[in-house]
This record gives sequence, C-alpha cells and structure tokens, in this order.
Amino acid sequence: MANGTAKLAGLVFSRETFAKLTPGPFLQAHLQQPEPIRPNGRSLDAFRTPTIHTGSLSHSNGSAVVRLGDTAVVCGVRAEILLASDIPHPPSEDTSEDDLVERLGLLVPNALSYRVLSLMHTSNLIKPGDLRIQYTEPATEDDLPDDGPKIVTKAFWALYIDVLCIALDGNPFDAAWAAVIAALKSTRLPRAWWDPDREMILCSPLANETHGLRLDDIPVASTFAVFSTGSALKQRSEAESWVLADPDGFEEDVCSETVTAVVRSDGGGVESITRLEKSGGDAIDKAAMGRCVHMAQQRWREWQGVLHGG
Amino acid sequence: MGPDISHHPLHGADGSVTFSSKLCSILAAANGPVEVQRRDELPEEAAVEVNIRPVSGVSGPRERWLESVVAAVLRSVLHLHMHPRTLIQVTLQITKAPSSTLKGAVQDVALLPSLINASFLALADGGLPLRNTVAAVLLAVVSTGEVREEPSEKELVGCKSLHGLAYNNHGDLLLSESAGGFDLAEWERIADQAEETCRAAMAPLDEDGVVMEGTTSSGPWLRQELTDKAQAAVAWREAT
Amino acid sequence: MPHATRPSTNESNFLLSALRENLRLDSRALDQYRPISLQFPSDPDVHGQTDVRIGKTRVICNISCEVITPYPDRKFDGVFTINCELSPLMGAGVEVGRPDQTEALLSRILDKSIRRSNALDTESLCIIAGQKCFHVRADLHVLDDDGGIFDACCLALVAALQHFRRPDYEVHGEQVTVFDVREREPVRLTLQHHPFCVTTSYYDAGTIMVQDATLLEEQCREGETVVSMNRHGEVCQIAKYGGVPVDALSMLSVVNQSWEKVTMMDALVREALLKDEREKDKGGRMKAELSAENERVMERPVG
Repeated sequence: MANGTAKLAGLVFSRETFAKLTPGPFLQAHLQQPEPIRPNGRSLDAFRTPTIHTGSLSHSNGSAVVRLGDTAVVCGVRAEILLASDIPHPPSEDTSEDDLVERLGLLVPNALSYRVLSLMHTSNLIKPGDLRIQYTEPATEDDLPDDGPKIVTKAFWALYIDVLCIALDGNPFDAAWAAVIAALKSTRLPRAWWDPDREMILCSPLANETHGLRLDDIPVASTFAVFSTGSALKQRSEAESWVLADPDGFEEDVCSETVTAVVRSDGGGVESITRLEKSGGDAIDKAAMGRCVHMAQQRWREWQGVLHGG
Repeated sequence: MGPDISHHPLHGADGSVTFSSKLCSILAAANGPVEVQRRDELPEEAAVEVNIRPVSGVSGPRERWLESVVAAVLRSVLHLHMHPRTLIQVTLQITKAPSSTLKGAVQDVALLPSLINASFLALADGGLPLRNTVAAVLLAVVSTGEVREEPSEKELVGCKSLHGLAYNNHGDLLLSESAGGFDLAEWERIADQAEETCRAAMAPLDEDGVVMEGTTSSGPWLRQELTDKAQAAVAWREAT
Repeated sequence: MPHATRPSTNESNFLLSALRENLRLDSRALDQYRPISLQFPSDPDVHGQTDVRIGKTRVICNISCEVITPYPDRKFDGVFTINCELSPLMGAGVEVGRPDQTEALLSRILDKSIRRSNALDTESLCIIAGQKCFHVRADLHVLDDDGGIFDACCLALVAALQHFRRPDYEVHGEQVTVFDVREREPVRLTLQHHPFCVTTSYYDAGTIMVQDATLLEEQCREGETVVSMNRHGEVCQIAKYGGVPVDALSMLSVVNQSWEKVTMMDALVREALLKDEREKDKGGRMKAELSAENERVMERPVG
C-alpha cells in the first residue's frame, strides 16, 4: 500500500480515512513516490479501458452504453421526420452544407451536455445529405427539355439524442462523447420517400432497406486532470504538478485544472485536432499541452479498435 | 488601437467596466467579498460565482459552460485565501455579441477572451485582491491559412479554426480554448503569438507613459488602462 | 444572504423632515423627474436596443424576434413575451435564479401596462393563421438601481419597441418567404399606443406625495402607487399594493399628475427616436460627431 504517512503514536489512519480527511496530500503522497502511481493503481498516463454495447434500447433507432471504469453513459438516438414546410425559418440558399445541420436544429440533445452538442457541430460529424429526404419532381410540360429533373427536399430526419449518465466516477465527457458516436454508428434510418398522391412521407418497414449514417474520421475525446501543489501561499518555484489521464471521481474533485483534446485522423494518417480546451490553473504550459495531444492521439488509435470492433 | 474600455459605469456594484472589442461588448460588474450561501461556503478560500447574461433570451446551458470556464480562470487570478468563507461575484452582461449565424462553437470561443478581460478589469476596478494579471486574446486561422489577431466578423466566417488564449504576467497559460480543424504545430505557433500579444498587453510603458515602439497591434492596452486608472485615483494629490 | 442595506435612522429622519418643508435632498420639486437620457446603439443595423438612464438608475432593453408556430388556441395572434431580470450588476443584494418580490412586481406591472393593454398589436404579428407567426421577445436588464425602476423599465421597453424593426415577409398561397434584414428593409412594429409608468411615493400618512423617488426616498416611503397611462389620458393600470392608506380623492390628483409626466416622457421618446433616425440617415462620419448629442442629458423641468 502506497501510504506515505509515518506512524505517529496514537494517531493511525486507515487509507480511506486519510483520503477523506485530506484528499490533496493523499494524492500528493502517491504522486511523489519515485515511481508515481495514482490511488486507483493506474500510472499517470493510463486511460481506463472502455467497453461499448450497442443496440440495447429497442425503441430507438440507435443506442449505445459506454463504460469507462465505473463511469457509465447511455445514449439513445431517435429519428423523427421534420417536414420542410414545417420549418419556421428556412435558411437562405447560400447556407453551406456544414451549417445546415446546425441551423435547422436537426440534432437535438437533452440537457446533459452543451459541450457534446457543440462538438458535434464543430466536427461536422453528420452529413446533411444523410438526413435529407428528397423528391425528384416529375417533368411537367412547362419545363424546358434541357433542364434536369428538379430535386426538392421535402423533409429531413431530425435526430433526438438522449444522453444519460447512469454512473459517475469521473470524466463523463469522454464517455458521453463515445456513447454518442457509438449510438450514431449503430443508428439505422428507414428508407423514406415522398408520396405525391397522398402528399406525405412514407417509410418502409423492411429492415434490409434501412441505411446507416456516414461517419468518417470519428473524433475521439481525451480528458486530463492536472494536480498541482502550487498555491498563493507558497513560492511559485516550489510548485510541482502532474498530469493525470482520464481522471476518476476522486482525482477530479482534487484537481482544479483540466485539459480536453478531441483529435481525429483521416484515412491518410493526417492527424488533426478538432477541439482543445484547457482551463483552471497555471501549471500546464505549451510543452505539457503537446504531450497531452500526443497522448490523445494514441488514445484515438485505442478507441478506433473498440468502436469498430464492438 | 486596443479595445474600448470605460470605467466604473455602475454605482451599485463594487467594480464595473464596459469592454468592447471588434466582435462584442460586455458590461462587467464585480462584487465582493460578500456573504455567501451556507451551501457554497468554502472553509479556506473565497467562493467564486460568475453569471453571464446573453443579449437576448435567458441564460441556458451555453452560459453555464462559459461561466464554468471563466470561473476556473478567475480562481487562478484572485487571492482566494485572503477572504475565506465569502463570495466573490462577477456578473457579465453581453450587450453585443457576434452574429448568431456563426457556428455555435465559434461564437463561444470568440466571446471568451473578452469575457475574461472584462472580468479582470471589473475586479481591478472593485479593488479585489488579485495575485496575477491576466490578458486574453482571440486568434483566428482564416481560410487562407494566415493567423489573424482579434479578427473581425467577416474573417470569422469560414475560418479554419479559432483560438482563445489567456496568459498571466508570469507567462503561465491560464486558458486555451480552440475549435475547428488544426494540428499541434499550428497550435504551438498560435500559442507563441498569443503569449507575445498578452505579454505586450501587460508590458511596462516607458517613462512618459507612452506606448513603446515595436509592439503588436493592440499594444500594452492593459498596462495603459491600469496606469490611467491609478493616475486618476491620485490626481487629487498632484493637483493640490 | 446579503440584503440591500437599510438607511440609518439619521438619514431617514433627515429626509422626512426635509420633505415636510417641501424640500428634497437633490433640490428637486416634489413632482420633478430627474434628468432622463435615452440612448440607442450607434450601429445603424441594430434595432430595438435602448439604454435608459433616470438619474443614476440605468436599464437596458433588447428586442428580438423569431418565427414560430402560434399557440393553437390563438391562431390569429403572434406572441409577445417580456422577460425582465434584476441583475447582480445592481449590487450584491440580488441572488440569481430566485425572483424576489421586486422582480415579481416589476414583471406584473410591465405585463399589465404593455402586454395586456395591447400596446403591441399581436394580430399584426401573425403571418399565416395557425401556422406561422412572429414571437417578439423583450429582455430587460436593470443595471443600476437608484429608485424608479418601474418607470425606467417601461420607458425603455416602449422606446425599444418603437425602435425595433422586424423582418419583412411575403406570402404566396401557402409559401412564406421571410426576408433577411439585408435583403429587404425591415419593418416597424404596430403599436396601438405608448403607455408609460409613473410612480408616486407617499410619506407622512399619505399627506406628502413625491414622484420619481431615489433609492433612499424609496426605502423611507410608506406606500406607493404605480400608474400606467398613455398621453391621451387613457389609464392602463393603477397599482397600489398595500402601503399606507390614502384618501380616495387623492388618487384622482395622482392620476392627473401622472398624466403630465407621461406627456413629458412621450415627447422625450419621440424626440429621441427622431434624432436617432436623422443621424442614421446621414450615416458615415457624421455619426461619430453627432453621437455626442445623444449623450447629452435631456432635462425636462416641470413647471
């Protein structure tokens, strides 16, 4: 047991009591060992191994449960049809494809994470083409013979994404993001078309006529917490800090600084960063951020295996 | 040509400032240390509460997230240990925001540096104990690949990535929020440029209180601002 | 929980004894308003934002609108909502999220004065009955409270509604095109009348009546009446929630005095709007020069 305290006469604490009374020094005692180790037994840059189960919710078009250690997040995706005529404020012609998904509100999250929604839009994860229900109007006598057939978008699929954290032991964001990705990957949308005679959208109930969503180069999120001994009451030069990958609940409470990196890699091996966030303290500098990004990129490779295999 | 700042516009709050950059205008007020709710009380330091009010509509999850980021930065800037079991309250009213046609994440990152600068100035105006000076800057990588500091709204449309960074006077990185598509090398270049700008914002003025030569576009606006304030406060002594 | 500090006995006694001699601490007459200043944003593309100052009291109002589906039971009406919040900007006594009595009262009075009196014609906000309509939303933020926030809020709201322009639209059968503000000139809102609020405070068992009380005067008062009316003398609402009982006939004189003040406020708003329009027309560099004029305080001494 990595318990750094000396036995004082009459004052002996169990490990758990030490952790509860003074969490900061407890963590510091672990990290200051010659081989730094965290109270949960992991090394500094070890992430927890994720497990993913998809398709567990029968009423949704797609679902996933992601477990990251003791943190568990469920995500369900329901698809509903949004008629083009019902859209109160249709966007103008020159709205680019990328912005369309955001403007029309086609991805509707619930309260859990503004960050998750914001990331979905920034990463242009879903292509609007997948969500369109289009209709090729038949040629009428008025059309000029050279014009191609007119394709009108009659409706869109709106995806209602419900994310629920069922167990929390630190780092819900990484798990939530992974759950959303996994759920979207497993989402099947029925084939839908516009029936001109009945003036409504019809869907096919056949399972083999469903189509999935195109999710290329999936971005993966990695969060780090930074534990620092610096404080206003001490000399700046005395401060020590450690970067902990994938913090659990105890570590999250004790650390005030966090870094989140969302990275993706396209087919050609070019790696890019979609979102980089760091706030809280002053211990992380440029070099440390670089190390975090490298760790995040390695983590991306780990996740690919789990997401595609699972 | 720095941001537009006006001193102490409000009478009810301990410290207040209006801060206008190219993209947004923010009215910031700081109150503290004041009495804190039992449930928020911390035994060894002051609690920090940030409230952000958008231009239109009520505050929602977006404002909650911005508040948590700003509060995290302010905890490194304030001397929390000087006033334990009290509350330091910062309110930020956005009076002009970047256009809502921009992507959500772009709008958020664009607001953050101004929110932080405005909060800091309001805290300084209110005389709250501060252990660091912080300056924040917004940088955009436009579609051509160039890096623009304090971009205009036009430059934000279709920008490849947007970065908001804040440094303190010791050169520590207090905040980095980036959104878009970029790689590590690009970020490191941007971080360098941001550090230079923030350092310049806090750079000492020469003897006459004049802007030093060779500084970046906005110059030592923060230092100038605080110097002017301090001089105004003792003006009565020099007049007599 | 921090509360606003109450005035000391010395302060309140001094105030009351001065009032008994017909004097106010800032040398105003008992029915005189403090200087009112009304500012609009200098950007010509921004409509519906006002910054009102009555003395040190400061209120900002922002109007925005979007297209929504109307309520099923009011198919021919648009939607108009007023959201007003007391901000911690005012001082440490305000807790966010928990509306206190003043905030509830403020919402109720603004609601009665402007929404229920149909100052804004909601039928004019309808685009296609039952399908599309405008939702006009007014957000009020009280930045500084030195008394008279009801009056200031109402003034800010009415001025902002007159300043605001909604997007233009065209209906072709079932198809609606709502034009962006850059494609077509946006259009004014249809206001049936312009209501304003006047607060009268009572002292000495209702024998002394004072208008436009400062924060100190408000904290020492025994009761108050808030009258909302327009310049035609039509009363929208009268609110006297508790407080010292006053002579019934004095209500009439209160309403009459309020009418004078409302006429003054209406003229002030009209002038400010005209000046703003003239400046925006000239545009360009002249704006920077002329904008100094907006900041000049408009003094309206009441004889």
